[in-house]
Amino acid sequence: MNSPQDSEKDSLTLRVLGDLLSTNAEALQSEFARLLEGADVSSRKWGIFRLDLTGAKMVDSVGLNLVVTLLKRVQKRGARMQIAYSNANVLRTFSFTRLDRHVELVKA
Amino acid sequence: MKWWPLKLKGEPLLVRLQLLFGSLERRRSSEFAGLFAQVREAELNLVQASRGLEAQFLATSSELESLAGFGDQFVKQVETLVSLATGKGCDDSVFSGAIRLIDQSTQFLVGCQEQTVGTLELLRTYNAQIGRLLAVETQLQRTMLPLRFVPTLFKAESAPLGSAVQQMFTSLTHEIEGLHAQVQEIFGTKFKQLEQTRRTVAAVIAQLDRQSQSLHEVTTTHKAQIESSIETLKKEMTSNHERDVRLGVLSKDIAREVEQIVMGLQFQDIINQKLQHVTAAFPQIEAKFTEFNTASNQAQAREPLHFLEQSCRLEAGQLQGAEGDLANAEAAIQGGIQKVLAQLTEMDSHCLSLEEFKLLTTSFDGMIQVLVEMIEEVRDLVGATVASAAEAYEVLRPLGGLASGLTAIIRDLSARIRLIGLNAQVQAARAAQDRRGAGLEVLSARTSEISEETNRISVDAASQLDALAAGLAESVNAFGKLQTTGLTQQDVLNQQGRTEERRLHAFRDSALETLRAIGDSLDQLRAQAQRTLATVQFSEFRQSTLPALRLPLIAIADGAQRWVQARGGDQSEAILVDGFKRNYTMASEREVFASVVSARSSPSAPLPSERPVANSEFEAFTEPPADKEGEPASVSEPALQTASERPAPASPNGSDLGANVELF
Repeated sequence: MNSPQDSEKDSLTLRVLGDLLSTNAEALQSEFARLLEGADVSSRKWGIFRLDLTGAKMVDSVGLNLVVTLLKRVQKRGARMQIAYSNANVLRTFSFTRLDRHVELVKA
Repeated sequence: MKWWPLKLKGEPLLVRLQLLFGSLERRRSSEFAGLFAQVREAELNLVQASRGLEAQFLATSSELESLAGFGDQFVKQVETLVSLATGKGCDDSVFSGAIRLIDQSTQFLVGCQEQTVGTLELLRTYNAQIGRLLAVETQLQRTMLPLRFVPTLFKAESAPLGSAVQQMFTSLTHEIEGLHAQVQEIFGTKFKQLEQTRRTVAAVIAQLDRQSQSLHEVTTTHKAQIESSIETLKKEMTSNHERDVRLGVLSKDIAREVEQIVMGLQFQDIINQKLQHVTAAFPQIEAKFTEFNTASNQAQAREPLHFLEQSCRLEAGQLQGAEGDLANAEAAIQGGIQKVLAQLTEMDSHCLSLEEFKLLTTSFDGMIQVLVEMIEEVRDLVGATVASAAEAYEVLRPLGGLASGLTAIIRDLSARIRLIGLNAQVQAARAAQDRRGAGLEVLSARTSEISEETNRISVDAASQLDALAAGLAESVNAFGKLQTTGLTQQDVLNQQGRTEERRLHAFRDSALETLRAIGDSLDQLRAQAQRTLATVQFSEFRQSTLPALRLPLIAIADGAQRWVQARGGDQSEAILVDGFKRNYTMASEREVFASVVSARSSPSAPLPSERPVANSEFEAFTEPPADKEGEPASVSEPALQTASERPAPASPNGSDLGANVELF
């Protein structure tokens, strides 16, 4: 479903395959929690958390809630969040809900 | 052919000249014939091309209808989005259910927090009591210490008094030794359990203390957030109904622009009618050309040429007007479509950035997000509170039993000690009968004192333990009740909380869904606009088909005018085409007519000829110059006419033209 990718020493990347919806948000949340709290990740110092949504065409309200939850956890760690997207609809969703003011949106 | 006669004077010269002019006229007639052939061909082409133009307009109209449909859909979607995101399109029930649930749960947590504070006080009291009870151990140890030596002393003192006395004190000694063993057991196990109980209660106190602080912080924050949310929601719901949204203004702009495009389509009717009027004039023009061709003399030829000059110039003017109309139609439709597209794009970017949206749908701190997070938070807190209550219940429940058990043991101990004391007194009395038993008496008395003291301490401890047990039982009951109500609240949060969360997410999803639909609509609009623009290709008709008819007509008019002028024709003669005016349904046609007529009556004024395409049908021709009375018509060429060739005066009522005109 997703995989932690370590592209840079000070960053952590998680890729979501497909859309971010209520049907998969809960499962993703558990997995994100597990990954974030995993020994190798929690002890390692990372300043950027990258959420890869390049495979997503849609993010619904529950998906947004998950992103906000992740964002708050990342900010609590003193890190910042980047979201990679490829679909215009995903960008519109983040712009409309003003999430683009809190995360860095990167077009893939 | 020899042009110059042998005689320069007399009839042969005139005959020659007549022949000369006749051939010239025949040449001119063939020019006209050539031009008329062009006109006929162009007219046929026009008929066909007009059908094509009509089909193009129909295609444009059809595509525009689709475009308007997409546009309507887009505007409605934007209005829906605005109403959702500003709260106009919903009542507060979307939020009130969640607010009520959070409020109720917060009240429960406030109650828990207050109860916890009370319970903490009690537990601290109990722990202090346990501490004091633990001190009883030391007290008892200290009080009963001498009893350790008493058996030995009893043995020593009773040894010289005979076996019967020894037997009595041996029994007492055994009881004292038994007492020691019991006390050791109490100190070894039960008081250790009491020590453990103290540590357990201390741990429960610490946990409840943390929970109480956390509950206090959260419930205070929640109460403030709920109050603020309710206040903001009320205020925003009220002000949103009065707020003039920029998008509403943009919608009206778009509607106006669409009206302009539709007006552009209406040019088709105008052009169609003009072309019909032009086409309707051709039979008469043809008839006049035939008349001209078959005229046996110049006088006969003049009138049809007059007619041809006027009518061709008129129809050329109408055609030029039609060209202008077509250019206007093209500009109106193309320009309008581009404008509408630009406005829709602006509307889209505006609706993404509208400040009104931040309140409800903003994902970070919008009301929906705040409420969803609060529901999650209270759910977690209630769960934690219930778990904590359950843990405290499980931990404290056995303590009451322990305390009660210890009470029983101490009471038993107390009873044994009293018996030992009594026994010791009895023995002391017996020992006193023998003067050798003085030591035993003292020992017995001392034993009795120790027993009484020990008994007093034990009774006191037992009483404290009773109170502790009762208090613990009460606290345990309280935690049990808290657990029960907490589980009920948890059920409510699990069921109703999920319902309210779903409702909030559904509301935000409906806004997101509309946003996605708007994006799709915009893509559809852009594609449809391209398709529509592709149908607006009137250039060939305007720049080729119409001029192909207009230019030969102008050439005919110019040629006819030169012919008439050359023969001294009076251009201010009766307006032969006056009757055409009756057929014109449009002001632009009547204006063209008026300009042609006024140009004829002021020959010095420039005559309508080929002009560049104008922007407005009203700019196609310049204003006809005012007639200057009394100015004789200028004639550019000398009149070569005989008396017999002077034109007969036009019939006063122009009956020929009038009848012809009536054909139109």
